[in-house]
Amino acid sequence: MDLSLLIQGFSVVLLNPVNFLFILIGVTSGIIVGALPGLTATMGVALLVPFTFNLPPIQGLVMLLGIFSGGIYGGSISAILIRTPGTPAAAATLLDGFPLSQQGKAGQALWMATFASFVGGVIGALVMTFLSPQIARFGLRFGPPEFFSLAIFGLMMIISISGRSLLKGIISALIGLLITTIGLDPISGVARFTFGNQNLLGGLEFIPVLVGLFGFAQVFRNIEKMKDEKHERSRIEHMLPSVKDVTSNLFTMVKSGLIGTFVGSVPGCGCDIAAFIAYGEAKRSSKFPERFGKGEIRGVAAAEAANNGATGGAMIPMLTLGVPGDAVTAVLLGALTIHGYQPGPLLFRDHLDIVYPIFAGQIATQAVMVVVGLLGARLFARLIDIDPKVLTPVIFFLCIVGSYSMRFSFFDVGLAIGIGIIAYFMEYYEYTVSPILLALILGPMAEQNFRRSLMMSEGDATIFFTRPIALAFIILTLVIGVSSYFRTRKVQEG
Amino acid sequence: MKRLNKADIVSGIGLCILSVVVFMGADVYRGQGTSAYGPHLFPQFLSVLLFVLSVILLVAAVRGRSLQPRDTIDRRGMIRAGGAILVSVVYLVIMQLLGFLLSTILFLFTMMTYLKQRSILIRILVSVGVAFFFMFLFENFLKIPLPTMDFTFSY
Repeated sequence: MDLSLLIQGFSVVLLNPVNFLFILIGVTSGIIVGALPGLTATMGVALLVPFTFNLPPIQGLVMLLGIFSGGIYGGSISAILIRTPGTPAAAATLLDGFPLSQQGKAGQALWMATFASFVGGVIGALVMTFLSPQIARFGLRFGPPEFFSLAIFGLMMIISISGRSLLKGIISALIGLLITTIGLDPISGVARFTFGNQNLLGGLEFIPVLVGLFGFAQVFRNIEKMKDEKHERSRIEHMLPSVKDVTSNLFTMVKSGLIGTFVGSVPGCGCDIAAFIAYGEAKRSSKFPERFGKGEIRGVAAAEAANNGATGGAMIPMLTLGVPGDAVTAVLLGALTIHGYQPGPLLFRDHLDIVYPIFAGQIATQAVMVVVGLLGARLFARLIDIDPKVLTPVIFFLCIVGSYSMRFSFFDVGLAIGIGIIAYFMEYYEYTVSPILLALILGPMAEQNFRRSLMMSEGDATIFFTRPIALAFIILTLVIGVSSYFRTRKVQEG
Repeated sequence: MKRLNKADIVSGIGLCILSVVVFMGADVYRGQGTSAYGPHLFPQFLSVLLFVLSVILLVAAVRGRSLQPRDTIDRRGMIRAGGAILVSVVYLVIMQLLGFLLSTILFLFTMMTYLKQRSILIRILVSVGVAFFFMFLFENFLKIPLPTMDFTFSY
């Protein structure tokens, strides 16, 4: 870890006011997206990735980092005010956040959520900054067999936490991997499954597939579920907690931030799992565990510190090994690729000019988020009152423009809508779509390294079992697969 | 009581057919690479795995052991969503004829009306406001060229 490079990263991000402006735009947009039920941080990042294509890489990436952190925090607003988490990561927040709101302490809960998000986010960003270079150095020892087995491990992690059926999760991943074989073969240059269509020579573009899977599918679901009900306006009073509330919960926030960071750094474990684990630990270690679930502000502090700590944690495997920590970092990985950077150990060798600004951007994002959150809490609360019949068409329009903007192609829009329709039905029949997204990202890495490994070993498949790191990943993959099988079987029988 | 999961039976059969088609389709690329591990290998490997898993899914569905969906599709809602998709297809067609600004105003107004948004003033303000805002944002800030009114189609 080179401090001079980190200072340089900060100077790149903060001394240019335009970069700072993009962080502000990203954080504000992220909070708005996160606060609105029916939208998620993943969708917010996915919708805005296409628009960063024409921006300088640093500006586009810091904006996306802002959306990520802002989106995860923003989910707490609707969780506290209307008992509906804006993002899955805020599901643990509502357990005590909504009861506090019912007691007339919505303002205190929101303030605590904001401050805890800041503490957890800073911890996550610092751990990411100091730990990532060490992990990347380890990753330089990887060869084709290690990268192939790492890809399979990453896929199994996402499959294991996606949905109630392991079998359908694996099927989704296989479909995603098959999609990546469309287009020019990266090793031989042969055009596969293009059916003479020029638009498919480069394969299915990442952005339209992403917008289809997460954008259009959600919009179709929102339209399907739309009801003719009147909104209740949310109320915020008593904005500030007491000094005692803050000081007595500081240790919980720090502990939860660390838990969130380390849980988030495990590929496949996202911000929502991190929040629940930290919440459970806070309850277990509390002198008054019976207060949790009835309006205990420590519950809000623990959940929010952990879910924002996990944002930094999830970036670690994405940046250092090219394996995303969760669905949002999978999208961020795609964004880095679009800008010409390949996440993984070589990023730390060849592109320190982007790595340290990312670290600095992630840290700066937390400071911007706490200021925007505190100043804008009442305003963001009003967003929940926007009529879905107005919001949904606007989001539909954004999905169309987002999928168009990559190649200025109506083919891509049609593709995105088609994929959205398929994803809409898939989720009803318990086929989750996250494995498809991750397979799109890891598929080329898996295929190229699979074939290179076989070329290296002259067809001997035991190469994957005789190299220790590759073998370790395969064993971990099997362990996670087996434990996931028993877990999902229990759910099905129950 | 175990019951047949018709959706899984249909999807299982469909996936089996897909895997066979992919396997046979990939065979065309055999020998086209420079090594034995050519462009046919990975798709065929995946399609074999997919076939095996699809058969397992099918058997589980027939024996009544597969997961039943937690939620059901609201048919009226699904038809409503289908109508929204048709509106968007029309939008894409007319965008190439009328340009981004006018077609977007029409699209947003139509969609809000279709979803039974009650206030005509809000529909007009949102349609016009959003269209102008994003046109300004895309063309001046993000440098994304938008279709103009030139009455031609392109894909």
